[in-house]
Amino acid sequence: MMRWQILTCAVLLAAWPARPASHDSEPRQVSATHQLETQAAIWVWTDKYVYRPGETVTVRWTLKPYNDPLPYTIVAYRQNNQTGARSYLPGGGAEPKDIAGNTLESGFRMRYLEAVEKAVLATFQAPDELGMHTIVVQLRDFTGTRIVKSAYFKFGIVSEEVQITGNIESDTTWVNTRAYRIRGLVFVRNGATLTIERGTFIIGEPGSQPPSALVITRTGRIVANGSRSRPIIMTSSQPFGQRKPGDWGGLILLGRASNNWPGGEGFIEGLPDSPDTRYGGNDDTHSCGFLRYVRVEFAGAEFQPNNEVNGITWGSCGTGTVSEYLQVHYGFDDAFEWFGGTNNAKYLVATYARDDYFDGQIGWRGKVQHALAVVNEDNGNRGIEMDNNETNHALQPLSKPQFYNVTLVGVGDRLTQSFDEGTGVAAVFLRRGSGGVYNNMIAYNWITAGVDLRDARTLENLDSGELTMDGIILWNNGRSSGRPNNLEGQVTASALPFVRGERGRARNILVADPMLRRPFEFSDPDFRPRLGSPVFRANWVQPPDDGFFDQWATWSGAFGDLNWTEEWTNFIQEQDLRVP
Amino acid sequence: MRDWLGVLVLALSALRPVAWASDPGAGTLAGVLYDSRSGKPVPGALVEVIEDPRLKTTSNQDGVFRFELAPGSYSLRITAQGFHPAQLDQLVVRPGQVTDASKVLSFAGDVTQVEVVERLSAGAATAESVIAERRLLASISDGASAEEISNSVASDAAAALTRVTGVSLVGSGYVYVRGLGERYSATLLNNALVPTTEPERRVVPLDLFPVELIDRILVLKTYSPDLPGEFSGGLVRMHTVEFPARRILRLSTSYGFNARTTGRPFLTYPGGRYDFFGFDDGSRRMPASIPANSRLFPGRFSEAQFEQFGEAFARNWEPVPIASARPQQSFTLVGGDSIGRLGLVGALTFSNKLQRSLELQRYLVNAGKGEVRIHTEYPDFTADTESARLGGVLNAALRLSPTHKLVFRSMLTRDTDKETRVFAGYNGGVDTWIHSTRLRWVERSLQANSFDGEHTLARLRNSILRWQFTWSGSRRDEPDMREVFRTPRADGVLVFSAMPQSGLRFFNHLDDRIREPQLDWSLPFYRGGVSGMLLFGYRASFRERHFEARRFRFTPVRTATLDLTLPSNRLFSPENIRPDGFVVREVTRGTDTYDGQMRIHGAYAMTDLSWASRWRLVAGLRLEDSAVDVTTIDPLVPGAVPAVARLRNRDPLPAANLIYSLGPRQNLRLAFARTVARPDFRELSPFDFTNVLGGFNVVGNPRLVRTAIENYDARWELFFGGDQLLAASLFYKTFHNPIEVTIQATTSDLRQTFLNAHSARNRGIEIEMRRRLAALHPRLNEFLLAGNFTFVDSHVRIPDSQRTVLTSLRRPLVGQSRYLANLLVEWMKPSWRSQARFYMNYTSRRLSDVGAMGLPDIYQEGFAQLDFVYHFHFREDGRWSLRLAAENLGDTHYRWTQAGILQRSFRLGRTISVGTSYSIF
Repeated sequence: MMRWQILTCAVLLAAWPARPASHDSEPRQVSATHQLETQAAIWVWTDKYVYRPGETVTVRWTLKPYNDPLPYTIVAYRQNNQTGARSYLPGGGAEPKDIAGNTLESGFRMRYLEAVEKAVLATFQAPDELGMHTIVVQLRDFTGTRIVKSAYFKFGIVSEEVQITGNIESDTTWVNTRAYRIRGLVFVRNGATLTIERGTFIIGEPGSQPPSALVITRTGRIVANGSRSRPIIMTSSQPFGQRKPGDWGGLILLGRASNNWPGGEGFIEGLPDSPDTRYGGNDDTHSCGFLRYVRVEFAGAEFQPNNEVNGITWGSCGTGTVSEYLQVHYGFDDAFEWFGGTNNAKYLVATYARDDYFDGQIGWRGKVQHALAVVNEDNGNRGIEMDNNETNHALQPLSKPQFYNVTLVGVGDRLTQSFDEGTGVAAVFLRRGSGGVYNNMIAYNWITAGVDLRDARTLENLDSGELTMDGIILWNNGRSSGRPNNLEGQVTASALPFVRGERGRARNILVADPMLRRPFEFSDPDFRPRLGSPVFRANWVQPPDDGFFDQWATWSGAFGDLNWTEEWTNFIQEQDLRVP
Repeated sequence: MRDWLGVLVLALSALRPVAWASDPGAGTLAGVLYDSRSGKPVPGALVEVIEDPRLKTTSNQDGVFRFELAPGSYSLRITAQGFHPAQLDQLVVRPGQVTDASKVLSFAGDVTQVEVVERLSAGAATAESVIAERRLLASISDGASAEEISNSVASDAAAALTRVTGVSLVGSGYVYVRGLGERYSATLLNNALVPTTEPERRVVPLDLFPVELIDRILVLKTYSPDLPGEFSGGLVRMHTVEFPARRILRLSTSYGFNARTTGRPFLTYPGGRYDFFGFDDGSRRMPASIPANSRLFPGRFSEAQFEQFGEAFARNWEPVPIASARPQQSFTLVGGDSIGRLGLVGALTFSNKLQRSLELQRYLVNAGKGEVRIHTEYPDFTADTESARLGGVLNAALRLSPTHKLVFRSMLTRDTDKETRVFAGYNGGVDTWIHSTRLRWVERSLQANSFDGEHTLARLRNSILRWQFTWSGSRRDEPDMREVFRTPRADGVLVFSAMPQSGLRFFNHLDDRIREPQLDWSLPFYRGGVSGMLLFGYRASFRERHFEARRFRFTPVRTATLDLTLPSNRLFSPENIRPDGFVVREVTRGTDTYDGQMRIHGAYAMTDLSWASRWRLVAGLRLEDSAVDVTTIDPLVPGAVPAVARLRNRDPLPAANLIYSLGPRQNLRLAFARTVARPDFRELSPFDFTNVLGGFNVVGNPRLVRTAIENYDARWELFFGGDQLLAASLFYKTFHNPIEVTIQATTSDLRQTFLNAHSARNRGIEIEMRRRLAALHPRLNEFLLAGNFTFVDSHVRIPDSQRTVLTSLRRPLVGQSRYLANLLVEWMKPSWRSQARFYMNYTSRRLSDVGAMGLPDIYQEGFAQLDFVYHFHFREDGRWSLRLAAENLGDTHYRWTQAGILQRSFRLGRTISVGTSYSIF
């Protein structure tokens, strides 16, 4: 069977250069020299996330040159993110060396890129330096100093792993010199604040029921301020290569902002009936806390047979809640979900979720800017799924989020789709009376359509102005069912009068190739647009200067020239780091 | 309640309509005599045949007498000390048949004014004896005798009960008495509580009891203190077959043809060798390699082990079509004899039925602004079920001496459903078209054993001591339920979908046991114009429940490495079960396993007084201590902390029944009682659990209190003699803190929970009549008309706090029909050896599900069912008979509506069955 797998991998790899022309053949001519860019893909990883001092760390990497004709100096090092100190790999030592061991003085050795697959790059003993560390692999140009491309991997060295069970009822700080294994439901309640230091690993243990999950109740708060170099990582306990969505529960924040349940309160499904599992209230400025630079990986265990936990759930959090630079990676259910409330979020990355990527309902009225959804071949459902309230489509307040600068990339033209909601897999799937502002978005390569408006109440929101779109780039949606790249092909029939401007307020709906740099190299993708991409057209709508939106993001989609996912995120597909 | 004294009251009735004789030329005239006061058999009564003064006998210790007579018409005179003389006329004795001449003797003190010699005709004695029993009961009841049951088309106790006044059937097995749900009724089998086979309820579904094993069913509608206090709508009392007057052995068989099933395509699936009989041969058992006490989770087991686990499950996921479904078949064997002091009776029954149910199912949604839309629609929801039912009874009675008797009773019944379900349609929840196949096997069994003894204590003022010990257990085993969901790809090909229930293997098992010791002591007394009895008793009910479940799901890891269009048996093949293909994950919930315990101690004192020849008062007090404990613990997590919910109550339950004789044939009854209804185990548990049967998520409420009920009843009854009567009742009940279902908003779905509503009331009228039409015109002599009608008005007030969620805060109780009616026309022509019965049953619309979030409540629309049965005896001696039945003549359309939209509908098809019965002895 293993042989079969390898064969499959080999076949897949062999198939890569033959990918459709739009993805990679043209840019190769311009990229490296003019944009300081290479088409080569690199990912690097260690054999696990959390080490004790003295344990052996094995660093592996994969390099796909993609015919990059230029020679590069390859430099790899481990950086202690607490001190900034570097140790160059594979040999160690603070003096800069390339991976062949040449120092700057002796002259870095340039080399043409050769394919490397899951090879050992270095092994070393984990030093007695507690905290988060990063493995960095760089391709440098002929100058030896100018970095063309970097790959990053975060791991931790800790003194101990602390088992967490039960409730947190007084102020608590989790530090990055330890790792925290949570087992079962952990409620933060009774006025307690859970502070998580940057660079801390939180590991969800399997095997309990209800599954391991961190729940910030209405009487608790979380302060999880990671940083770009030291994100907070909440992840699976399983060995690398064997991690699966649903290995543990996820992160749930419950707040006191309003929603549209009659009575204003709901329960988190699948949990016991207690004040700790309720959400909702009437304080729209309530703060559930701070989440900055947080990754939630392999979450989504089932609470009950019909209900999996999302990666990050906001249950009626208010505007006081801060959510930015968040990634949900490989979730069994939705990546991000909002149940009512008013909280905003920025810089969101949703990768390889089994269900939807951005899901809102029960009267959520938050704002989102700079958000990315990526579906890989094994996963995925809808990009944005928005409901008002399934049980009564007209309940008030209406779900009316505002999205600006969103890139949604599906798997439409490489159809092996099998997940959940079969025929209704659209990039933007609006239903059950939801409204909202959807501006400056890219909907690319989704199975059925770019935009789907489901029902009468939702369509009525077009007439009332509760649902508007401005600046949507549609491309290659519905290709597997032969839909053409024009307005009729890119949206469902229900949405056609809208995108044509015949009903409601939709402007700047464009069918064009967004010309993303490398959207389908899943473990090392790049969703920034290439030169000449229509995302830089001048007439995209300006985000309002309301204190939340960044008005400088004048393009369509999540990215301009800056790749804000660099370093703190992780796109590596599990099979791509599974060592045979 | 003292009808247990008349254990043998209906000795012969079980065996009707079959007759027998040892001398083909002669017939038998036999009967049981019993005391109108106590229901106790009357021994030593002189029975004389008027036509032939040489023929006389005395009744034995069980009140039984018997004559062997030449065919002809006879009259009997019965005299006994202390009783009014009675005369029975027009007793027709046919060759080889037994004519029943059972009689209730009126106590001399009861009727003094009028010289009465009650006359009744033969052939109606069975129905009469139930009526007589009812007449004697201190409380109000309605019943069905074995004869009525076996003459109807009913195949189980639940269906038989639909003929009874004020009773309606909800689902297939739950009896609603006077519009009150199963929460408000209890079932006694041979006077003992019965454990249930249902994990979320405490009441046993009555479709578990094949009619062949049942002698008679009584539904008590008013309470007396010797009964368990959990009583409001009614108490269903079933008695298994009784002892025959002489040796019998009867074999019957029947074949049925359903117009929508038999001979048509049918879905099933490969099972075990003994599926036909309803026994799993072990092929559905959980694979032995799956650890029994550990959840399967990554980390605990290696990938290789997971692969083994996945491959260990039987690769048997797909329905298999049969071109033509075979007819329904059933076999029954009944035998019994008296050997000296030992009486024995046994019955064995087996049936195997295929039934297709083709439904339309829809789920509606509130689209807002007053618009209700169809959210989900499955136009061809097909469930093909093979039901195998096997039952047996063995009862033995030993008379130690004329005053001491021991009885052992044992009953075993099994009911297995092998179901293959397929449906497809648009599911609004997930917003896509889905296709589901589910294979299921549910084995339910119940075993009840009891020992009882009855001792007349001459030294203790002729008091009677009766004791009984019952131990019974029921099981429900649902091994290896398999379900697969698929969705269509853009090209229309169905692909496996990883929706939450897809790729599921579900195992669950329920064990429910009851031990019940009882002791009753009754002491008769006579003083001047007052006579009566004092009764004291004690009953303890110890109930233990254990339920456990395991759920496993096959989920794809890397779909890109799988061909998800493959049929399921190939999809889940060993080459696809691998770490990056399908992996099995355990999704057992921590709350799937629970234990329930209920301990009730009840003691009562009551008196049964008669005075001034017309008054009778049965009054007393019961004191009940109850303790309910529900423990929910995850057995797969070592050291898990159990969650315990408890409820403790001590309830004094007073009751009084006053009977006033308006005349020898008329009674007026007034009754009052206070009773309780306790929450079911799961309703008390604070945990969110998934209803194994419905898939609905339910959370219990540990704050629930028991419901206190006040019951008021009035009844007037007129006995025309024989089996003829006219009766009318009024009832009124008030409920404090009734337990009602409500809905909670969760994250996206709604879940069910329970609360104590403010109050509810339930009031109604019942009218019942049974009359031979000879009174209208002599030519109508061959016809009997019986009917009953019930009007119930119920009303429940939900607390205002639920206003935001529940649509109606004032509504009828769930399951309550406003009108219930039954009509029976019987035609009997002895000269043609024929009997035919035509039944009609009408149930008016009733609330079936509570609507939430602005959706109106769901109602099941009213429906009528028509059945016809014809009996023909091939031989004059009745040994060999033919039975022709046409069931569901109108092919009733069962419909549910919500907001005027058809929500669910199905027809089961007409069934014609042909059966024959042969008596060897």
